[in-house]
Amino acid sequence: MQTTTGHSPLLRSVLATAVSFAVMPAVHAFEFNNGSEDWTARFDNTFKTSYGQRVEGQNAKIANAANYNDGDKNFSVGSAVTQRVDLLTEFDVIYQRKMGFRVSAASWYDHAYDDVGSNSNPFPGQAGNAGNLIAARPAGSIQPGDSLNGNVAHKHGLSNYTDRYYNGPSGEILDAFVFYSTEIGEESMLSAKLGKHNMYWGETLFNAANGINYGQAALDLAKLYNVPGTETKELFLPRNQVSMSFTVNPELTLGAQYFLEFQNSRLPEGGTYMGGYDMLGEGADLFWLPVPTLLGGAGAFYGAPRGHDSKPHNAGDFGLMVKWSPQWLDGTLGFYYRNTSDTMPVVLINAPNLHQPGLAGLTGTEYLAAYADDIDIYGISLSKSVGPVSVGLDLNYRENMPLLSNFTTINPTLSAQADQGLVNGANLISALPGHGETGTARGKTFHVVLNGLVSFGNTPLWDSSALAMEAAMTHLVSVDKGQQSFKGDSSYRGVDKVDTNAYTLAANFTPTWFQVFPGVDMSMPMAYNVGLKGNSAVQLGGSENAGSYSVGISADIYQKYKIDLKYVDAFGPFDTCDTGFDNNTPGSSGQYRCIPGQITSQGGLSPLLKDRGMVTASFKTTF
Amino acid sequence: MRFLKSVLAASLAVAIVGPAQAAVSAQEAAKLGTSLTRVGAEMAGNADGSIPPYNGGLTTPPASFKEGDGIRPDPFADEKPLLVIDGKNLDQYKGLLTATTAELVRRYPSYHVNVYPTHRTVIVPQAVLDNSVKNATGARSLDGGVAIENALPGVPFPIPTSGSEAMWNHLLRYLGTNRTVKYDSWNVDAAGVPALSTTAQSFASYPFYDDMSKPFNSTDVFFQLKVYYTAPARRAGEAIMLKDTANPLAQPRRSWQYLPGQRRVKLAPDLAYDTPNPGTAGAGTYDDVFVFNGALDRFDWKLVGKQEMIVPYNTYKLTYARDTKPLTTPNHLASDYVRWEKHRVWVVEGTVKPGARHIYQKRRFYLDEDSWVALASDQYDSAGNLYRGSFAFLSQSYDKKIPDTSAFMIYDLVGGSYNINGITGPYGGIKYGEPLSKAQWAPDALAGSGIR
Repeated sequence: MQTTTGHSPLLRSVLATAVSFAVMPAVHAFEFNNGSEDWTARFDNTFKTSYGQRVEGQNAKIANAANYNDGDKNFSVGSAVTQRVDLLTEFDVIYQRKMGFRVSAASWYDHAYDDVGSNSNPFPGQAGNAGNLIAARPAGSIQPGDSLNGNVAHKHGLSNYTDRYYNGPSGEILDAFVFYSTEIGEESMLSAKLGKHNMYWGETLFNAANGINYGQAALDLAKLYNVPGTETKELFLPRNQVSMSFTVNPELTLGAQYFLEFQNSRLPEGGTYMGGYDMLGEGADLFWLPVPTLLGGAGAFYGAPRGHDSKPHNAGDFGLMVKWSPQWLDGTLGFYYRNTSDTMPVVLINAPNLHQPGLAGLTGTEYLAAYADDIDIYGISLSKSVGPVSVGLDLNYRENMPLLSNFTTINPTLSAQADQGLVNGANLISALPGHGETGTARGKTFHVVLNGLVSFGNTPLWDSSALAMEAAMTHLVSVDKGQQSFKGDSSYRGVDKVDTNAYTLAANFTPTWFQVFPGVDMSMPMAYNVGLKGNSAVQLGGSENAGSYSVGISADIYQKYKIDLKYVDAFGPFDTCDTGFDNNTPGSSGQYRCIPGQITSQGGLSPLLKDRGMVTASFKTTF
Repeated sequence: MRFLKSVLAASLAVAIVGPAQAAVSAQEAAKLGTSLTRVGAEMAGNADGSIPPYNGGLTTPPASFKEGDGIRPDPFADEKPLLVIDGKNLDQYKGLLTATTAELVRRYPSYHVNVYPTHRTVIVPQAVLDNSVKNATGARSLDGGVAIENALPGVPFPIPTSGSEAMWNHLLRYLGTNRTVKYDSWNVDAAGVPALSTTAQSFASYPFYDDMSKPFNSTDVFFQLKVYYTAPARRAGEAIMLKDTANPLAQPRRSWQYLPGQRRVKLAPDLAYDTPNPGTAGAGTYDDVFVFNGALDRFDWKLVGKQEMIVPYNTYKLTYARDTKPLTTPNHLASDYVRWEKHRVWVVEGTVKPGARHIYQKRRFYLDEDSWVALASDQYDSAGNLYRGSFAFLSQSYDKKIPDTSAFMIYDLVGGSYNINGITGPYGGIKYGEPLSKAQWAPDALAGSGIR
């Protein structure tokens, strides 16, 4: 019985070099305690370096879509889409396991974003293009992108916000809170935290849009899409709040949280590689509004600048929770009520002069993102073992829930005319809504999320493996207001038209092989998510046939250094304007005018990223 | 709810119905306390005197022990090995060694077995002894041994009549009622490089022993464990809690995982049987932990008999080693850290039942007669080749009447790696403090008190 290792000397020395390089940083994790064990302090740093390269060619339609093409144009096939270093620093101080504080911070730099831009992009999203009127299609000697009002195109650079988060070097504080925990009697325990932190409820693993947790924390979707190997703990953006948990007895726990801050989710920004929407993110500055009638029907775009976003008040969101694990159930039931703001934006176009004919109608037009508040969520969760499977279930019913809505225009005159039946009122509202209002569709929805976690042992194919699967459903109960903007309205013809019921599926499967080389465990993480049937009534809730997948290999060296290699891609349907009269929604004229060649609707973000196939490699260690 | 309750109760009742194995006769049981100790070990020494008679265990700490300290100095530190077994004299002694021990001696010139004088140090509290005697005539095994009934907290079968009864004695062994340790787990790969798998703070408790007058219910929690990971640094902030019942078939293990960043607790999938334990980098399975844990249903258990063996025993030097570096030598644990003694062990052999599935076709356990701890095991693969071998490192906590096996290990003889777990010396040893409050054993309390 001889020991066989089967590793090559070359690989071994490459690994050894990589490892010894990685060991070099002088600052090491430390755990301090003063001997009496009253005080403990931890200081950890997670260093990650990643490289990503585009391997899929541009989809001509995406590359030509005025408001969805910047990221596509800025990174050509074969170019580096990320060359990034990340550092996550964590510092905890704990006294007697009872009280203390925690601060964590992320810092980063990405060389791939040092100089971003594309000379060949006719519809660049830079702020300097506001007010420009450009040709959408060739007309005589006029080429797409040519200015019709004499403005000079700005094709390079990122907004300050986008540059900070994608290029850096920059950083931000994540967690910053104090905590206290005390036992009361023999059976009870009270814990409280104050400051920037997360507290996440329910059983949902993947589909945050359908879970009980909806709106509980803003999500860093930008990091999720762009930085391979981002951990869940970095995905949830900590939010200022006071949270409490009271374990009454081992069977009953009560929880409450009150937020002191509103925070919106971070979408992949326009102009960045995974930026599907050029105009939607926090750092976006420009929305190319289509004017299909100009240039003898060739069409033009007007660059509307970003106005002031409308966000809910900071304080006010709260939640209450009861978790009950009665012996007879052999599981845990959760009951929840939450009143929350929406972390996802709605796009409004404030066009005070649009009722005037011709170009005069565009003056003063700007666009903004608005966020809804005062959503009521009633939820029940269940967690229970069924055979070897850990099963989780989230059921929740929401009132005043923002429903999937189209871009909506604010113009009092047109809106009044629509009320009298003089013009078509789709996507028209009369006034800028107040904080926490969007003017767009709201209603009642019901959501189900069911998931299972299971491990498999040794098979001829792998040493062990883990499977996580989650199915989710959105059911639209009623549309209570803002029907004019609702993507389920009878006038709406987009590919993402809302269905009463929508079903999605997500699965992660990771087989593992231990000690493939001495000290090296290998695994092959695979992830897949898809909208099975129907389009969800809520944002990110699932779109039919749209989704994303990744497959990779991962090496864990000495349980300390992790190397990941991954292929990531997305898929899904979008509709393109063909005849010029087949838009997704009618204008005030009642006609479905659009600019041929432009994308008019899409099944969520994934279809806009379906030509972004990339290979990423990352190295990570905590020290 | 009452309906659901009665349905559940009925289905449980169905699950445990089966022919009950009769306990031993009163006449047989009368040996306990006379020719046998109350837990069923032979009172007398062996013929050549190399195993002494049982004289009540070790209850006197050495002078160097500081009352209340978690580190227990070796009371036998001055002793010299009576015998060193290595490649040269292996053939003479291999009948006294487990197959794994013999294979390690054969394979590695650097490996040797230091055999010291035998000390029968184990002693457990009087209530455990008394219950063990009662169990001899009261406790019964069911369903071919995979379940038991009417056992009081103590050794359920001090006079075992089957292999499964002996395994139950190991599963329900007395290790105190609660224990707090901070420990390391190290993997040493085939190239001889040690890697820290885990450093964690753990709280263990045995609610089984809370009420010594109550026969246990098959769904009662026997053992519960709460672990806070502190190293490697990337795992800092993770925590788990698990609860094992006395009968994993009636109520499988439940475990919960605290998810950092989300500060919530998720029920973990069932990890049991031959699922590889990632903490050992695949060197061991989940049911290899503590040499053996979990359900008995996948094996036919044969009580081979009692025999004298050279096994690790009174391993104070290893259990309380303050520095792990000199321990984790290439290919095998540093030989001079392990104290071996000759003891009587029950040999129990498990063979996979027809139709059942396990990567170990056969496993042979060596159970200490005084503590019922599985001190060692040999695991064989489907081709019948020796595959892995486990050891638990027993030392009596002489200040508490509690045997300890915090440290245990497994060798993967095919992969050439090994894992040693439960090394507490660097962090102040093993403490039996106040038990945690009941609130601390609520899984959801993990979320409330989670920092990361």
